[in-house]
Amino acid sequence: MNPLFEKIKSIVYFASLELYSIVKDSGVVLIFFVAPLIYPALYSFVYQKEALQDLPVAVINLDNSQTSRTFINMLDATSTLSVAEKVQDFHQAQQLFLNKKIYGIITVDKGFERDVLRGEQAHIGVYSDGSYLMHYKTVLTTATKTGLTFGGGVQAKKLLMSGVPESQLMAKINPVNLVSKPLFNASGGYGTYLMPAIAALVIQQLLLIGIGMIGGTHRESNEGKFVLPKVVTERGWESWFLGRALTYFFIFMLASFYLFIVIFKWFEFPIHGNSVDVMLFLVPYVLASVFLSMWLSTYFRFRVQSMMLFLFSSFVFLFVSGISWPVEAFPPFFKWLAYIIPSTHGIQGIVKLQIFGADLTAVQPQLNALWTLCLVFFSTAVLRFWQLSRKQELHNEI
Amino acid sequence: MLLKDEYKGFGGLMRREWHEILGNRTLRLCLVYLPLAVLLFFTQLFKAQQPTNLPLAVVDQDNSALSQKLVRMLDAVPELKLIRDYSEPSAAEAALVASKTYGTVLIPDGFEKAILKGEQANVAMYYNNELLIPSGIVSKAVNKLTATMGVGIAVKRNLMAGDSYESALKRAQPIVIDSEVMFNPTVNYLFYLVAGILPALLQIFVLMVGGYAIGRELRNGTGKEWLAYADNKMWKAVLGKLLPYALIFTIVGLIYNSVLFDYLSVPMYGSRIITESGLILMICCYLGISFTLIAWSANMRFAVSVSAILGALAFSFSGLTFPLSGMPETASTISQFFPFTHYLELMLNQAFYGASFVNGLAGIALMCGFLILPVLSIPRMKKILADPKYYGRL
Repeated sequence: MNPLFEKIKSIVYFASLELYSIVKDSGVVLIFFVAPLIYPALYSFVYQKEALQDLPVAVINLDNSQTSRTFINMLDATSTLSVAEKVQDFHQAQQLFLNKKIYGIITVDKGFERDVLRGEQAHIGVYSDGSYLMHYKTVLTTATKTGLTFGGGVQAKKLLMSGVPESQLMAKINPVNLVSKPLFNASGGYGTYLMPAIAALVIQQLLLIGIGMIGGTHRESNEGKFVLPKVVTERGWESWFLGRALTYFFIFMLASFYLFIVIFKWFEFPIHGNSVDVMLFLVPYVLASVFLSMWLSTYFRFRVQSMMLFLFSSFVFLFVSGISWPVEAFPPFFKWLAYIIPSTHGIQGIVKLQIFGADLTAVQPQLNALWTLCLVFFSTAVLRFWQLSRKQELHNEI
Repeated sequence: MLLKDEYKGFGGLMRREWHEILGNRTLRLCLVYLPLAVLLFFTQLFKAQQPTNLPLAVVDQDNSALSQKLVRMLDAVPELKLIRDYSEPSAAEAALVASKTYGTVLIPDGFEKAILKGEQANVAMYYNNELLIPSGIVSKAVNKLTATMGVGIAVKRNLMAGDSYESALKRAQPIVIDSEVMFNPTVNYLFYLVAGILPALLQIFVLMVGGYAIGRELRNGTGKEWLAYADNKMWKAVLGKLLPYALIFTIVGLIYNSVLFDYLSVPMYGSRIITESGLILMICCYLGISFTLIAWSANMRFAVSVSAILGALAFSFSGLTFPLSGMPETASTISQFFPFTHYLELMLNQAFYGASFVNGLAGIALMCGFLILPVLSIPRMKKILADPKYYGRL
């Protein structure tokens, strides 16, 4: 019999054996099959609305003139803000704010109309909440934009009255016109922002926790020792190692397909990349995560240990990926730490492919990093399994 | 069943847990080392407070005195780091896709000519709006700068037309927006994010430790023993077991708050005592949730898995990053079932908004509601502890 064929047969044998034991273990099924199904759907549900609409604000209109009412109507007509309360003093507005009835305060001082008509500078006050970033941004940008548009209208009227031809109006009002084009996620949708990162991170975290649980269960049922089953010592630990890796790889490539192709279409996230590139990119990402997880799994001593120790790390890995806090603001140590975590490159690459619509050449730095990590974690895992099998052989000889 | 005298009674139960902690590295990691490590991690990561030097490509096709002036003005903005390596818009776009820059400012040919002729000059900005924080900072900075330049030009023209400086400015800018940022005036990300992330991580550690500490009695089949040490009184058994963990987590939580409010000077306009009480209550609520989950699932692994889902979702559901006001109604209702949501609101209300003591007490009362769960689960727990058929399940 051909030894290579024999080897492949052993690998396939262990792969199916592993699949069988995964399916039989409800704890692992929950992590490998149920979690990838429900997690992304839940997140997509929470962030479904993507952006804030008609955020309630209070207006203090002390001028109470035709002009000031026009401005307030303009504000109310925007898609992002709605004038929910009209109050007379600041204290009242503050109370509404503290009771979460409104998320910002706009003030128009007495004499607003007079100033506008006389050509004096008229003031509009915008009070936004710096402790809730989305509210802050929405209130400030909408009010500023509306104020500038209103001011442009005032200028236009005056210029027309003084005899400036209409064709020159824009040049007078706004000599330098900034044409601002947000790319990739034009409306700044929160789901589109976070979902690709969460989906990529989920793959690595579920592998770490799931394979860790398999490792922990192994030791817990062998009184804390790592004991290779007889069939493994007979057929060779390397086939066992490769067979298991193969099973995890296939399960998570399937999960990836669901996460990045099905869910993204389902919740109508803007996808610009092509599915083949995405799946090709995910090969080294899933492999690197599998080998890292297999290596670490040999250290766990009980079933829930991997969950206890890895759950919090999702936060750490998400923030070092640079998707939220820009890498330029990282202290040097964090850049180095980010590099050795597969999810950093996985998240960056997936965002480029899926959202920016880049092709595989644009993710070459990420691919290089992932294949390097793959090689590193493969070597450490193989060394660790070899060491464990040696230990057992020595033990058996005694 | 072999009972040790030293573990009997309330103090004995606490000693029993203390010995467990001393003998279990994973517990010590989740109780002390990891919570302190993440404290160091996140305070260091957000040390910059506000990002600066964000790369922005500039393609100057006009190459005139005025366009160079605009480039120099952009270069002087501390938030931006100008990248002038690209002469073609397509090259700048490729750099944007490769995440080398956050945006491109394109000054087209004829920029200076238009201004000198008194026409409107265009400047284009493309920015990567997928990366919300840096793109927001970059686009805001460029917007502000071009507006400033525009007003400057308009003022100059009005001056040349014979206005006084004052009236030239008034005509160029008829409406002034006075922006006042309340509560976190510098929009400091360290204050905003770290103050929320730390308690979110704390509740994860509490859930993990709580599930393990209670669940191990079933897994190891020591349920009867545990009850026997507590004279067969469930409430005594629970309090004796959980008090050491609650105390350790309280100390960790107080360290978190001390770093936030004392060391990093996060504002605290309300009552510190109410905030700390809320924190302690949140720890108790989560220990209660662990107890409830174990009681009804009778399986440590399952309870810890469910806790993991709860713990991981709490942050997203709390509304800190994406506000509750923007969520579907079902989601914002679900968020009320996380004690973390209530603690976060209480803490933000007290710290940033300076809410009243009474407002804080109302929040505390609301959180106390979660403690009904474990109380209702006491009889069920007592039943499964005494029944060996629930022992040793993995």
